[in-house]
Amino acid sequence: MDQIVKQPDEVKLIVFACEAGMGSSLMGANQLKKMVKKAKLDGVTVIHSPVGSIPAEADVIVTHTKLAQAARAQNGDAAIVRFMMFMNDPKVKAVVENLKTGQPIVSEL
Amino acid sequence: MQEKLQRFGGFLAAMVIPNIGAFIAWGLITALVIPTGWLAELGFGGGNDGEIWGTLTGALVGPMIVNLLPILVAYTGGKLIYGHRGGVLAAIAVMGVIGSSGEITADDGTVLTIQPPQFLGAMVTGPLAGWVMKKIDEFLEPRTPSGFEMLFNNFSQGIAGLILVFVGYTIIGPIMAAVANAFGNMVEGIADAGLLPLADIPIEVAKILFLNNAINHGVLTPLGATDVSESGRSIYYMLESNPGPGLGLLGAYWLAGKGLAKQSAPGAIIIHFFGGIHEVYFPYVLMNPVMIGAMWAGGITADIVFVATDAGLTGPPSPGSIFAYLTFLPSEGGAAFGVLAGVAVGAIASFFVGSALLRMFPVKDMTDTEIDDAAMNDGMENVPGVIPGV
Repeated sequence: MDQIVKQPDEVKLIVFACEAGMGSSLMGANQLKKMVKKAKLDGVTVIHSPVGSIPAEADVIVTHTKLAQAARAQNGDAAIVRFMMFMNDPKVKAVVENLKTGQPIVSEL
Repeated sequence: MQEKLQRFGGFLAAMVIPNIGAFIAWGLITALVIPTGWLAELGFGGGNDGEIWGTLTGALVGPMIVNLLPILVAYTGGKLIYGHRGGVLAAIAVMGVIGSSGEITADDGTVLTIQPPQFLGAMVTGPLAGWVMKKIDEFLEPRTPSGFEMLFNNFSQGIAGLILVFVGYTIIGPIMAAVANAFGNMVEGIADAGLLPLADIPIEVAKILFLNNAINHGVLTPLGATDVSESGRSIYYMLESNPGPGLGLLGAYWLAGKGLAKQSAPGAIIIHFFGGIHEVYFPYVLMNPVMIGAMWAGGITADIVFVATDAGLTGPPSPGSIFAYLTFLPSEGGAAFGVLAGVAVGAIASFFVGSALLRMFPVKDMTDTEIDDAAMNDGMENVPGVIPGV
């Protein structure tokens, strides 16, 4: 499979996915929302979702490495960013940093 | 394998999780109004013998667990498969299942509960009804004359509801009641043999593989609700959700860990123990899988305390925060003490075992930010002892 690459202007919807879509993804999405707002990325929406029902419109999916396969099975088009730690993971920060500096987001799966 | 389990368990949990608010409301009402509940214990309404408590229990506590909660679960299951239409047919169909259950009456003739609450039946009927609705619509849509859409839609659903209610009443209900009873007896047998703490061994492993919600809400929450309707409190609510062991683990990293894991531990403690989001501690086990030993030490000792003190919670502590535990403390002093003691003992045990394990098997290079792909996609046994990208 070709690697999915999303250019910054293609990224409209970032989905923070966890297993149930109630706890950690809500926390993670709120952290990400703050970062996106701080970076003044106006065209980017951040939502949270259970990994089993990620919307098809998602451009970037941010999820824990253990759930990345399930996220890919759910959505074949979005770039997937896998993180390990729920707080202050550089992978999550890098998403915002890339968008801010105009670099593409390369899917890890 | 893990993904399949996750999908199946996740589906079960997805029928329960959106309705946790209703479980909590029911738990709060139960804790307040049953004859051994808080209001009676505090002497209101004539104390524990007050007639009002029996009346309120019969009017609210019973109907909510027998009707409201299974209907919500079934509706959600149907909705997951086929939207609102699937949900509505599921809610209709599950009434047949609920109606097929028998009543349990006390010696004086008052109805205690309808046994057993049909959670299992709801979890089967819900998706089944959603699927049936979907198939019916797929069949009828190309055959519906223009202008007859509403008539066909409403009556196909109504007639399907009629049929499924009878199927639920005569087939699904009795089978699921038998299965639930057999499962309940099995769990009770394990509990009576004093082996419940051993359930912690698979539970802790499943948790860090993100099967936490599947286990807790797919299995234990319905089991706990059934238990509460019989005895006023349940230990099943605490088997997965106890925030003590995770607290001890993070405490061990704070004391005996190194680098970024040590630095991030205090923040994780707040989110885990007070916010109840257990996911934040999973990476601390995944980065050093031997730490599962600390979780077992904490979980098993905590469960032993829960069993020994006959502890239980009156409602589902979701999320598994200490505040949720305090909210659902039982009114009986010894059991309430047992809950808090179990949380504390679990934290202490996992803290000491975790600290020892961290000293024996320290986490390796903390600055390594490269993620090993193979390790990430395989089971936890292959995760190297590094924190990828802290």
